[in-house]
Amino acid sequence: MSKELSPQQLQKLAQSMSDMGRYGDTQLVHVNEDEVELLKKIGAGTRNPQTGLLEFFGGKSATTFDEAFAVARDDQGAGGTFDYNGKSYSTNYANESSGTTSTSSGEYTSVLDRFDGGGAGGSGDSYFSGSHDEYKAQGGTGGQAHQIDSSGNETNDDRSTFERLTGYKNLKDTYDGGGKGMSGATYGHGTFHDADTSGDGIIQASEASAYGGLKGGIDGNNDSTFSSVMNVAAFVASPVAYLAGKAINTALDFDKDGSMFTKGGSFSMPTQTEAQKLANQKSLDNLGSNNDGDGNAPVTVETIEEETSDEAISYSDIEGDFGYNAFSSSRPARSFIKYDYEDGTGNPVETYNRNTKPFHIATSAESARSYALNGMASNAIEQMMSMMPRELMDNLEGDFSVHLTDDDKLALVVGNGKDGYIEATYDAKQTGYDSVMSDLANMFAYMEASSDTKIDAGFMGRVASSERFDGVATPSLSASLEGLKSEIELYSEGTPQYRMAAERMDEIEREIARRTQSGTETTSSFSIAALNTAIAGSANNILQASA
Amino acid sequence: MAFSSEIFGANTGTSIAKRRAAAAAGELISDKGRYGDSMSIHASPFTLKLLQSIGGAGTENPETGMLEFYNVDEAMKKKMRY
Repeated sequence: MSKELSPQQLQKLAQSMSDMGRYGDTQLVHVNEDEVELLKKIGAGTRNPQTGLLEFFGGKSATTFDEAFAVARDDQGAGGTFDYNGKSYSTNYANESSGTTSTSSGEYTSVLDRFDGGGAGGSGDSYFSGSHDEYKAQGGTGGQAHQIDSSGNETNDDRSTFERLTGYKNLKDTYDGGGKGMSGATYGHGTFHDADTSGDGIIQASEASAYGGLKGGIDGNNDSTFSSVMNVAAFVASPVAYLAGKAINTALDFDKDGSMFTKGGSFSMPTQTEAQKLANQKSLDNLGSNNDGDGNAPVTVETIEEETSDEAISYSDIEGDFGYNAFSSSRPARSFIKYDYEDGTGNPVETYNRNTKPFHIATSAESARSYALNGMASNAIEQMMSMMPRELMDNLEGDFSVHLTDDDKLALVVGNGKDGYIEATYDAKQTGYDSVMSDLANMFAYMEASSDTKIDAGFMGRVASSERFDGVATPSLSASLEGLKSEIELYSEGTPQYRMAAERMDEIEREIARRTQSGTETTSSFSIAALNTAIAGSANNILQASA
Repeated sequence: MAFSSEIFGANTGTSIAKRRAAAAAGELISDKGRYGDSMSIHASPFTLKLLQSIGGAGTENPETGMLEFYNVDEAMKKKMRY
């Protein structure tokens, strides 16, 4: 700003901005970053289209009731009533209406009670729209009925606000595996205390396996990176490589039901909470259909317009060394519009099931949805990146980006312009987006665990290979390889036994190449081969399980 | 798809110039936060109650006249930063 405004001018300006709130946002307030992080877990977290500021109306249907209750409670205190969706509700908290200290059959006891699961008047492992008594009657687990003293304070719940809001003990608990309140070797969204058979508070891999896996975790239900990938292809986006007709190995095509990787490593990186996913979805919906016709008044800040006309406020004006200039989380989709799949001509190659690969990746300018998706994913990627140690962040090179394709799939593109890219395709639904984010989180976790920060065409293969041989020492790999070399001589070439031994040898050699950085580990062929082997392993496991 | 939609979402009938002015105004207002308040957000009555319930100050910023919630529970902050 070119000059300071008086308090009167500031207040007028603040009021003008405040009037642009929507969906029940009535005030503009000062907050700190901690509070914003918390609000993002439970509210919209979208940008107001007129002011560009964050807004936390929390969703039309859910928040309207909360607002109605809060406003009515303010206006009328206890004993009042208010209407919502054609029904009448009391402004009483549970202890006020029942006259007892037990609140389990009553109404919400506090604002936090709405977020701690277990229905109104109690807490629990999952959310429930009825009373706590009903929650328990229907088999709801965990938590307890809230007990309230005469002052309205709860006397039997010493959990932190964070825990009550999220179900997790603290932020670290959200990504240390083992679900809520536990740590563990694998991930899950929910409470899995039953899986901890040893009772040490840690769900080991063996316990998780015996439990049947932790559902809904960072790696889906399969405890495996890229488990929801529908299709994988290698391609070249580099014009030089394209003009040279540099052939890329065969594009891989896989059944959408297939799990690509076997159960593997135990990386530790944060994933999105359910609330964050919800907020993301709302953000996507919002950006896609923002013509709400709410009649908000246009900005009326004439004095500011004049004073800010020379301000650098566009993204392109932001300059500086941010330490990770070689990394991009939102490579322009235009780079990928024409790419070479297999034959050096740029023509899409027909897949095994007669579907052509998505040839055109939508640029962010083509639709609000593609823009929202690309931007939302970019933000998430940047968020994951920001949690890396600085020294690793500085060494990041290459691109992660998420796009829509013209056949309505999500494309996760990983690589760089020099070595080429691997494109993994997911279902263009919330579940597909969640899978993309989970896989990305695992890739970041791999980077942190291995210090491998060069995102090239071989990167996805290295992640897969690393996960597959997690915990196996290199001398053991070498010994296995030597054993296989002896074993394969016992088989006739072309027999199933021979092929299996050869594939196993290739697999081990790739992992050794990754660990020794022989040079082949940076190529797209490395990624394709590694993914292909992992898929075969998963398919075998599925067949064995169904036999 | 107009360029403006890439910055603020779909066209709402407000010009790019005015949106830019609003963005700059938002930054200016946010800069007036104190005791760690570094952002401004749109809030509903429910959001206000929630901010108060976690220990936010709920006082009035003397310069902007807006409510401020800087004093979030220290234990809460500690937990969120693990």
